[in-house]
Amino acid sequence: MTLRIAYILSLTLFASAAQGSIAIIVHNKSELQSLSIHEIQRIYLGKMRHLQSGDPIEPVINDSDSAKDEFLQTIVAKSWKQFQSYWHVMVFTGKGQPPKELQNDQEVKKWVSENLNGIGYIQSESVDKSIRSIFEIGSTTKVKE
Amino acid sequence: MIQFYHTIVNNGFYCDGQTDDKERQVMTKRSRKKLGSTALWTAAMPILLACASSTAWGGKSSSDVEIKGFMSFVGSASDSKFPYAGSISKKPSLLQDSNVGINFSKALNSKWDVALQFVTLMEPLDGGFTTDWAFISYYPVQGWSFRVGTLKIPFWILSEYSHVGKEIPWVRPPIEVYSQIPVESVNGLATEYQIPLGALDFTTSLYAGSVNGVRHSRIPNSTEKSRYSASGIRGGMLQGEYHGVLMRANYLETPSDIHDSYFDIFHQDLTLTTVSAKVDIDPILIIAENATAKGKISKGDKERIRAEYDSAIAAQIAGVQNKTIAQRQVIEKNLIQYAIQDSLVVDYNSYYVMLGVFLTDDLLAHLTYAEYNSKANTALAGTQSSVTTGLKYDLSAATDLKMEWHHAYIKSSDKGLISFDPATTSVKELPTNVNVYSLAIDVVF
Repeated sequence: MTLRIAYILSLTLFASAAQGSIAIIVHNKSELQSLSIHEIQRIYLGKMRHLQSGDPIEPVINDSDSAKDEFLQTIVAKSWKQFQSYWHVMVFTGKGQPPKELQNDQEVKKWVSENLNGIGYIQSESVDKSIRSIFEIGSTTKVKE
Repeated sequence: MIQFYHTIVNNGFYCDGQTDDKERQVMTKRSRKKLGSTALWTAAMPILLACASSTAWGGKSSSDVEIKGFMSFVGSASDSKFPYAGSISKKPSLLQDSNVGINFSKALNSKWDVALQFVTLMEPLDGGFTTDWAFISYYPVQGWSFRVGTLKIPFWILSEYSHVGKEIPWVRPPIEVYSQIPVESVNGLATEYQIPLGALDFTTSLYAGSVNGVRHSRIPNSTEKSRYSASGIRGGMLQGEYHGVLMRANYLETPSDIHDSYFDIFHQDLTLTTVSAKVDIDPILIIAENATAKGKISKGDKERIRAEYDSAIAAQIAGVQNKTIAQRQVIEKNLIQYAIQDSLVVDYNSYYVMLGVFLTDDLLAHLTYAEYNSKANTALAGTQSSVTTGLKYDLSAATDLKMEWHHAYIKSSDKGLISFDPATTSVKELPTNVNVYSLAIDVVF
């Protein structure tokens, strides 16, 4: 039994490592220190538009497939198609505009580093000093709920 | 007499400008003749589709003003020789229920947005693009929002985006529920408060406003119309959402005045209560809604209307020598009933339950049962139930294909939601079963 559990754990860890992890990033001077999964979800669904300070939050979508799929499934609990459908309804009821879409980790990092109220997600290995990671999904998940 | 009869019995109107699809379609035939532009739409459709399918959705453009759009291209036909649910008839129409909408929005700053949406029905082409909604939004602090302008009323789960075919399961939302309220939008203000309680998102909204419009007769080929105004609309909505489960309750009340072509004006107090639920947990999609409407006319107005009608009928009947007393009595009785139906809303209760299953990520199969019950004994308010089944296939995130079969059961000697001219047709001549077949392509761009 112990061997079986160890086997399953090793498979799980291997799968996570192979998949990589996603970091939620903000500007280095952002007032955001941590967010819960539910708060990140609400930001990306347009339900949470402002920080405690009253400043607007500006989320961006990283269009690179691996990061996008994992982020949406894990945090937003929607597929890309469901996410788009959700925003169609928001737009056509006048309740908001979908997050800006950027092509890859580099673009997201650049954009977040230039926008104090920006928030995005990138592969963890792309995190550097130009931005700050406040949450990670994947093999080294640090849930700050 | 017949001319007078036609004039006076034209009841069951629809609103022009701010009304729902089904009711606007009543004007179809005369509008088409007048404008004669359906060929233009037919020619434009492939171009619009091509543009739409090649346009990527999502993300903010570099422009300050965001421009989005939607379009539905619907073909329908029924086996009823009388128009059903507005104007669906035996003659297949490739444009009936089709529409195009254009949406503009701009963030003025972090707390102010302005947005507007135009929509046009391809048939009838009775007014080009009309304003679906247009408002300014203000977000003072997290959770609160205020809107001022022309607002969509959140009667039902889908009512704020019922024109956007891509985002609804059916070719047309259940007519027993969605086609019965002649007003979709109001000019006024709304406030919304949204607060998360753990994983539960709780939303409450209050709104108030007014609306004016013109109502056209539902009777086929009629040119009758009247004006209405509802100047004290007020209502509230409560909504709870927990993961894929959404519950909503809505209450609205308003006084309304109807200015009829025959009698001057009468007053009606309306109330509308709706309860809705939606479960969207992959692969299951369930939507159920119940609506109850009540329209109260004051006793004084009833008596006055009756007196005016009595007087006019007596004068008219007196001049018609070939009517028997029995025939005159029937006419008189009918006219009184029709006068009552000049009201904005007749008393009714309706509901539907839809069960959908995603057979694949892109293919939804659905089955809907709906009922409409009106105790108002008028020419166009009856009782019916229906079953609708269909498929919705997403070609992409921006385009879908739909096919649908709708079967309505109407009791013998009842009207259901069939439109007919009571001056020339007896209720007994109406069908008890109506089938509607529909195909649609929906696009957002």
